[in-house]
Amino acid sequence: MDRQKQEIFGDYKYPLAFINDSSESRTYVLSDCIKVEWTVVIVAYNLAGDTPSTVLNSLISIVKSGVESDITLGGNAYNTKIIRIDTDEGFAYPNCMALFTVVISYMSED
Amino acid sequence: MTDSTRNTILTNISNVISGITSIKTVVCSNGNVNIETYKSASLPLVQIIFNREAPLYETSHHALWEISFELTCYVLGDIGDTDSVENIVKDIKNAIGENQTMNQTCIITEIASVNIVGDFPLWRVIFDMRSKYEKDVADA
Repeated sequence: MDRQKQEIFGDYKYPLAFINDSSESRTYVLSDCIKVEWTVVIVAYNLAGDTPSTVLNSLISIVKSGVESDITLGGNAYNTKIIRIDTDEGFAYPNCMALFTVVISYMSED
Repeated sequence: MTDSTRNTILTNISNVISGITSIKTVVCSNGNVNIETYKSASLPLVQIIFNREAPLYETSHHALWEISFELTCYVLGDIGDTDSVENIVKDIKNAIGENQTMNQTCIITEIASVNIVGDFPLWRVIFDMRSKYEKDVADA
């Protein structure tokens, strides 16, 4: 889901993830060959239940596996890596939340 | 011969490299070109930079001199694509090997070493080159 924020009482099915566009870093290799490092933030939520830590770790594991399953993103990037994972540390109870900072590297002509 | 020999040799090397069909651009410069201003269609691009000139021996009238220069070829390639770089190395080696006198402007031109450096997707193939030629001391 491409959203900038979660609506607190939205009608969602859990687990859910929002993908937020963050920043783009551009390095010119040639005038028409630009190495782009695009940072996106994946915000993943689940219902915490009685074992928030277990649920959260499971959620982190699922998202990590998903991102790492195809680092070329269908041949559109040459690398995708998670550079940071933050959690809500319990503040989002009865939900739990993990925030993944992901850097996607690709070549662009413009 | 006069000191213009050096320029003549470099010009001939430039011409020899320009004759390689896989090379799109040849630039003789005093320093590294600003490669990010070039388009990918200009690559492979060869940059030739004069480095050093030194006498190897002298008699009262003649000296054998050596000029060293760096020939750098900028190549675009994928991470696992070694063929494009290797083919460039082969083409340049063949062109130098077939005309070591650079159209009779020097005694011999040699490749002292080849280094491949760079980061994806831009590789630099650096040839350390030497040309030996005779020069009359009176003209030096």
